[in-house]
Amino acid sequence: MGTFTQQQDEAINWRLADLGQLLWADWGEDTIVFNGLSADTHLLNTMSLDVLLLLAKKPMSAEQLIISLAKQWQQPLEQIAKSISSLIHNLDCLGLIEPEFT
Amino acid sequence: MKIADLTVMELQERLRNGLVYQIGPFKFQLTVKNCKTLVSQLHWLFAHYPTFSQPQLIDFAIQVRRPRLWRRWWRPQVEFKADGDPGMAPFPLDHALPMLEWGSNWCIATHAHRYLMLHAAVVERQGHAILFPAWPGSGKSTLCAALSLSGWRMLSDEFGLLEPESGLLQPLPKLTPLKNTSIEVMKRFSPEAVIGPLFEKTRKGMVAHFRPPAASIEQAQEKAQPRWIIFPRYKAGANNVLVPVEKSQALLRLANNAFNYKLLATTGFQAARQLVDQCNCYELNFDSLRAVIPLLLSLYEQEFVSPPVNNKSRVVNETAD
Repeated sequence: MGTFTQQQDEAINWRLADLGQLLWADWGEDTIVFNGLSADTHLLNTMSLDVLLLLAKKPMSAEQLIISLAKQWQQPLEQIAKSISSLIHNLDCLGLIEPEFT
Repeated sequence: MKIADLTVMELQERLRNGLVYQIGPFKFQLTVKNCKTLVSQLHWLFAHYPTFSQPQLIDFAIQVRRPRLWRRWWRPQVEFKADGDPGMAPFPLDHALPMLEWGSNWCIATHAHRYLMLHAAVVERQGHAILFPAWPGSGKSTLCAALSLSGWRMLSDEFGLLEPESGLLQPLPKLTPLKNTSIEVMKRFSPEAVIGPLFEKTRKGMVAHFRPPAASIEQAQEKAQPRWIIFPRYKAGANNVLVPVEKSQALLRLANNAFNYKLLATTGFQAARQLVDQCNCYELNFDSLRAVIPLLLSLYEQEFVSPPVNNKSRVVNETAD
């Protein structure tokens, strides 16, 4: 679990904790993700799913995520920035994403 | 040979040396000493279980016995022992049967990890099963007992044993502990209900055990295909209707109501996902067995021939692309 300041958060790239350990179930409504590292099962809303799917393609910084999602959802950046930052923190706490150290 | 084929005296002798009997896939070797009342209760309530005279590979060696020391005379007690430590404090001597049942449940719940063990009642009709996952107090045991006397085969009132490799449900027709008002409800429901003695002031209140019908025990090796997942809840004034539940919600509820889901990790998730794939999922608030039983029969007749809706989950790579 990361303990980063807001400034550091913006600078670092986030990635899925271990894509090979994540199993998914999706029947066209909400999505379930099972984390093999913790054996926890999570129910994802659309926002969380979109963040994870973007990070599954490539690691991204919080800023890059916000820009991508604002474009995808056709929402102003400032309107979603706070909720995405908070979501990144929550997904990190759940062990679904982690900072990428290079 | 069934336990009913033994006389009470023969059963007592077998119990003294270790009676081997089978419930579903499990063989128990039960030793009982100095508990005469329990012997006659077992002769009656375990009558249909197979027993063996030849040496067998057993799953669980268990003992119900009276502790030594002064408790033999003053407020006599009984204790349950098994491989491993169930951590059960002694019960009053006349509560030996509930102790045996809860103790044997502990053995299964802590060892039978070749199954995904869902906390669910299960009934079956023509090879197709309904799972009723629910917490204690939801009425699932009462519903299961009533259905077993209404043309359904009882697989279990407590353990939905799902084989991950086949996706089939394994029967485990143990005695069904009816609690408090459920006892009278079942007695009124059918004169065919075989219900054991009343045990008052147990840790779960008043308890009496419903004996599964003989046919359910005789067919305990016949697995069933899961077809419906129905989350039941007894509630006074409920409208007795089935309300569809989203599959993702059903999976989450199953995961939160299983004995060993987290322990089985990936295997548990995959088994639960495939289970949900195969089933139509509903919630059922009910307050009347008389109303619910025709409702479930109607569901069975309507959906038996049609495939489950939304029957396959997608995987992430499909979603990501």
